[in-house]
Amino acid sequence: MDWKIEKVEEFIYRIPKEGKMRVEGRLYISEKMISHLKKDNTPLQVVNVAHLPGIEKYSLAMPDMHWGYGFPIGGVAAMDINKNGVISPGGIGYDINCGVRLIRTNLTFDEIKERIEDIMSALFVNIPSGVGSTGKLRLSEKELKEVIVKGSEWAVERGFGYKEDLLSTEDGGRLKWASPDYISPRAYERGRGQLGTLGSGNHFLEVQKVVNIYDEELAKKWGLFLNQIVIMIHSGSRGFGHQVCDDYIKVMQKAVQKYGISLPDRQLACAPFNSEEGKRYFQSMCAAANYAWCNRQIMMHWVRESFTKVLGISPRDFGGELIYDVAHNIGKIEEYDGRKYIVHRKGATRALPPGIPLLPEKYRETGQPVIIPGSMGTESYLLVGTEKAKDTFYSTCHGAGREMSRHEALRRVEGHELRRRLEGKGIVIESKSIRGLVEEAPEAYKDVSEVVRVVVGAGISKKVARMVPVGVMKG
Amino acid sequence: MGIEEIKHTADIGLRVTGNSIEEIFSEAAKGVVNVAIEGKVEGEEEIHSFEFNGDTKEDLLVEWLNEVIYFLYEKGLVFKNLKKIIFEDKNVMIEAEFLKPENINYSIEVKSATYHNLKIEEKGNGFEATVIFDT
Repeated sequence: MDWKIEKVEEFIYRIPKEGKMRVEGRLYISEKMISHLKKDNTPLQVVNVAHLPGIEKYSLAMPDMHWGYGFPIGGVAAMDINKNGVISPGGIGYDINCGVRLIRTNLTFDEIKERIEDIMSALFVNIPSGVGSTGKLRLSEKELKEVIVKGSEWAVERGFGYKEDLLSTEDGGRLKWASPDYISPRAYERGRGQLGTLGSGNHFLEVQKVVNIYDEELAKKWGLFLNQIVIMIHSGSRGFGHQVCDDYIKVMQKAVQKYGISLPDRQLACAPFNSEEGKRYFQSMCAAANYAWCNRQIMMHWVRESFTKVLGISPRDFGGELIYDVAHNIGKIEEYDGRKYIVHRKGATRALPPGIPLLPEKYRETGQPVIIPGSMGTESYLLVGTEKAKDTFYSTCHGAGREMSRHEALRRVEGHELRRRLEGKGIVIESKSIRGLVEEAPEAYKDVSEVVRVVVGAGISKKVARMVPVGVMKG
Repeated sequence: MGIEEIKHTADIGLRVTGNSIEEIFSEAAKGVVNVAIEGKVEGEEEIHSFEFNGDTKEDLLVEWLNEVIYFLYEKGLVFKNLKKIIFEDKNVMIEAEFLKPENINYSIEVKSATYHNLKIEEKGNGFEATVIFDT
């Protein structure tokens, strides 16, 4: 379909408001990416989101945007909750609080290069992964209820990490509105055995080395240096979050009729934030977000254990401090200029500049670390939030963004050749399935460097460091 | 009758054809199994009964497929056949046969059937359904 897409300035395009759109569409994208964009339905989805009640300013899409279901991936939409703004489970996604954490170490690549295979094997044994993987923890319903209320704190209280980790996690790893009261028995059933598991699909754990530092001062403050080993964990709320989303999309189908909301796509089903349905979904979504933070916290603990055991070093010598943990599928209550919004970020990362009270104290002076994972085997970036990102409700990209369907990747990429290619680049691979590797092949994704070039060029983030993988673990 | 995978950047879509709505429900469930697991499945047979309520046939199809997904990933039960399906007003009652293999070789995780671009249409002498799944 042909869309009227007009250039506003370098890296920013608009889709003018037409018909029942409440706001215009804003796309953060490069000239190079535009031609590909027109081949899929992303612009239509940006337009559809612009129809949602209470949406303010723009229906936004970050440069890693691609066709999703309902919202585009890379979509950001802020609804004013005091102006009957809605909350939409489809605008947050099935994997609630899918996110990334980055851990720094005191180690250099040269110090561990001979031991990477051993490290990756230990990680693969210690951290359950794969489709439907269940973990080493089997929680009672009572314990699970504690997890979803306390988030990362639950893990720390049980020895999975340190109190300092909470100070380096978005919202301290706990959304205070979480309630266990409106969650289905099936969600509890699915959540009980999956805490502390990586999952499958695009989730991964990477051991990376820092290859570029773009902001010396900031890198130093955050404890980063060239050739340093860092670890990145990408995972979410597993079956628990999926079930919460599933349950509430059904609830919202009815709510749409009840509140007389007209939608161009049923997957955008929603309810006013202040309605009974909206509040219950929000409290349950917060619970799933807390589950995800707790999940990544527990896996980080096993990362620390694996490294120190394999290398025979103390936790102090290892380092292993959490730089930050970001959520990139989430709905957040945020206040800007005296107005309260529910900000939907579906495949987008919050990116706060210095001085914002929402930031943990340790980052209030520097701004927030923004973690951008690349596709498997390619580079990842660490960015920092900027004041210019106010235009996007302080949001930026979340990764490379898919360019090729899984089906297409399976048709075009040969698994063993891919594995050889990655190993040829010096990357140690641990994976449950060759098919899983192929579906996540680098050629199935956009070039993350181009994505980052756009957000930096548009001024909504700044580069701090670039990392490349030396070990990849996939489910 | 047929199942065809359709192009979608992030996720997986299925186009399912059948001579009747009943066949659409059966073929779509087989489509989920086809994309979710690899290899031949053998195991003990189990019969399970379901009842769903929804405003449209599309709603009922999403409910049914999400049940098939839940059974597959959480209970390790692989859909085999529909034994009985009765539509009554806004309800559907389904009796289905599942296999319980010792191990399942999952290829991907299908999280859910979505309402995005969801439709069941009359085509020629039969029906065609389109469903996009979150994976």
